[in-house]
Amino acid sequence: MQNVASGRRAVAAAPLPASVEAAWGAPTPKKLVIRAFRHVPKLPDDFYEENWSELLAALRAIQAGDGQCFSREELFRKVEDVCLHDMAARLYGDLEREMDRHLAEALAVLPAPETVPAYRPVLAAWKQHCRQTQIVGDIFLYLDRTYAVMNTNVRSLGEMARALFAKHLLAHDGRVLRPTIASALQAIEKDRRGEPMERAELRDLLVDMLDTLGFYRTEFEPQLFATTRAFYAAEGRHYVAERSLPEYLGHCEMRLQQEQERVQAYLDASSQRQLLAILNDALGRQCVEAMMDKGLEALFDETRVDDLGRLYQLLRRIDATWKLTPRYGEYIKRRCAAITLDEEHDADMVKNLLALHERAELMERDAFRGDKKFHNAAQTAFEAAINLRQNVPAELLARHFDQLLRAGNKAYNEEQLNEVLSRLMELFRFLNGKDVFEAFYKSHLAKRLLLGRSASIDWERSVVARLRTECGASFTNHLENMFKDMDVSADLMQAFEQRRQRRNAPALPPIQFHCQVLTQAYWPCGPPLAIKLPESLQRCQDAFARFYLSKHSGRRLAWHSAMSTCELRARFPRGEKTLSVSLHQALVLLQFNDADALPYTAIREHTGIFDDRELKRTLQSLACGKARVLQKEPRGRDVHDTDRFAFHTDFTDPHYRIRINQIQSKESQEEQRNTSERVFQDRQYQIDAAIVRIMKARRRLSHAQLIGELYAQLPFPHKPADLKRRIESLIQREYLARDDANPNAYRYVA
Amino acid sequence: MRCEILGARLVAAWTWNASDDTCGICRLPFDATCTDCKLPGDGCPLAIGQCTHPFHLHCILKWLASANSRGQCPLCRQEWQFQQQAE
Ligand SMILES: [Zn+2]
Ligand SMILES: [Zn+2]
Ligand SMILES: [Zn+2]
Repeated sequence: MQNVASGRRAVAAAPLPASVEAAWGAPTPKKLVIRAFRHVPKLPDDFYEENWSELLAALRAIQAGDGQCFSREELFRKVEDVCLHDMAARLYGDLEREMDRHLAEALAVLPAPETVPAYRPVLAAWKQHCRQTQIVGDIFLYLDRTYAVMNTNVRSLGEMARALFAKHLLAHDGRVLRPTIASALQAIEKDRRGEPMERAELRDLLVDMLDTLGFYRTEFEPQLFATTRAFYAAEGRHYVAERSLPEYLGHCEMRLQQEQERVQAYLDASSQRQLLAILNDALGRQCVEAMMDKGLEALFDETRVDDLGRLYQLLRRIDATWKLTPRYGEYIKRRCAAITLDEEHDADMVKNLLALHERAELMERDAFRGDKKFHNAAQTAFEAAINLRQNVPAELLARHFDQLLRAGNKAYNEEQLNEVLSRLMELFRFLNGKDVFEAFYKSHLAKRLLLGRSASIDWERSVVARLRTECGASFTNHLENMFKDMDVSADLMQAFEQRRQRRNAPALPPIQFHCQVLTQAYWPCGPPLAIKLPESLQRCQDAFARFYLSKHSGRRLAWHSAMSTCELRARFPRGEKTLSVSLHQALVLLQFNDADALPYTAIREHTGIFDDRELKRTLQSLACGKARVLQKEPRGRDVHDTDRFAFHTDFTDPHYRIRINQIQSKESQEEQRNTSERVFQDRQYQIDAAIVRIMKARRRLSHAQLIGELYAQLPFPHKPADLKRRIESLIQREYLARDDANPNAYRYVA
Repeated sequence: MRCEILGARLVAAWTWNASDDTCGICRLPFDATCTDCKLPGDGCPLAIGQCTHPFHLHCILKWLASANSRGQCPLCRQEWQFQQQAE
């Protein structure tokens, strides 16, 4: 059958009769001798009939399947003869009629369409027709090459044969064609159901026969598309009802691949686009939302990146990734809000936020292929949800930084720490009230620096550098100046030591004395506590104060004993120890140099620690903690005004150096209140300063204009009522005045 | 002697030593800055006149540069003289 087409092409390429033998492979060379006619030769009257009857006999034999007994060369020559005698048209007509007659017969006696598959006899007839057409084409080659080629309105033999076959397929209202196509479609449906069928056979039918005859596009393909749509629409309905989302997604992907294979195997390649479009529409567009309603939350919850990736690809194929984006954003927001608002598990808030953030990153990278839409949706969601709760997330985030940066944190190596810090910075970025974070961060940093608790000053600086990159230098100014104060203090101490070494300097007690001088404006210093230092230490402190104020006149110093530390040598009957303690702990312990036991009230009196909460915490750490250097009477965890304390003479410990931690009353509420209060105060200052700055520049502004400018300038959330209060206060303090002409406007008072 | 002090790390914080907490010119606290500065501390120091009135150094310099100051303290109208400051 293939040869019918290719034979025709060869003819067109070499139309000269001289090459006919070559095509035949005939042994005898044929020479055409052209002579002038002496007389017109007379043809026998039955010249045509005789030739035709012999050709017809050969044709019938070929149709019956035994054309081998004829000499093809002889038959070829008869055709040539008839054509040379100007009877080609007649011959062509007779040949066409004969083929027509035969096909009518052949296709009429086909078995009924009940045969399975019904297309099989048709396909057999087609194959036979192709074989016969090829033999006939060889015999009638001369006719094809001369008559058919030269007359543009005459079809080549191959075309004629195809047209005749097509005509008989269509005859009687498609009595043959319709069941043929229907059975082909049934075979395809079987294939889709995974039942066995003959793919090669179907390819011959669809591509070789129907497409060659021109029925593929016109008759077959529209029906293929319709049945495909119906099949997958039904499957989609079934899946929405019965399958889980991951099953559905896996199935869609499998179907897509199968359909591509199907096209490869037995359909025309041009059908692929439309088929896949139908598939994506029926299984994708029509079902995906119902399926997402069913199981999306679980996929997110379990971070199923493979399934989510399938979903994303499916949506991409139907141009609908935008349907997933808001669902993803809402999911992140819901989870993040649940974590943020879960007050009972505040201790785990940051850990949980970090985990959620990491999962989000994973989904965005591996499932959503780095699609920016999804990243942005998550960012927006995180920001909205974290700020649902005021201050606490910022505070806890700062505390998490503190835990990471503290000495003794061995949970991470340097590389891991770097990664966790980056993640924390990401969370930090979402905070609206960054000043709250800064206040808590500052108070933790102060403790780390002053109590020598920091794991590494390099890490400290690197975190502050990150914060500066994120929020600008003005945000980290105070933090950086805290480091600077530390450096300046180190230099100061060197100068102080040198002065102490001078020969005429007054002798000081043999104490390793160090003093940190803080610029109060940068540090979160509470009010200083008045306490009674032991005489030796007081002398050192006084000497330092004199030294400092002589270098910096116009300043005064306030001593912050709560941040001060001491090293004591303690002689217990069962061994000598070196104790690292807070200054307050040291003051308490020193009282037992002169007494074996003391009542609470006496300790209070002698140390000058009149803040009962602080004193009780201190006593608790010495008498109820891990290293009990004091004994409390009566026993118990809580310290009361009526308790008595005694030096613990039986105290032992395997270590020589012992650090007795001050009981960190878990970010004591008091401390937290102080920090929040500081933030509040600082915001008031900032609002005042911004109002004055704006009014100084603009001189006269309406209330709305001023609020608008403030809104753009203030780096923290604020309520209009607060701003109004600050404006009132500034009017009272005569920075501003209400405009005389317009009560809703202000002017700057120089 | 059961306990004796081997070493101590004390903490002190410095502030400006002024009779008032706020600047008489810009009316902002000395622990904060004048209206032109951002960072408190050494960068925005205090100036005290012989009349003992304290101001931000930047504030009093600006005041003295203006025509209607006539070289006087803005609070008591005495002739302005800086108090001697060591450093
Ligand atoms: Zn000022
Ligand atoms: Zn200044
Ligand atoms: Zn004055």
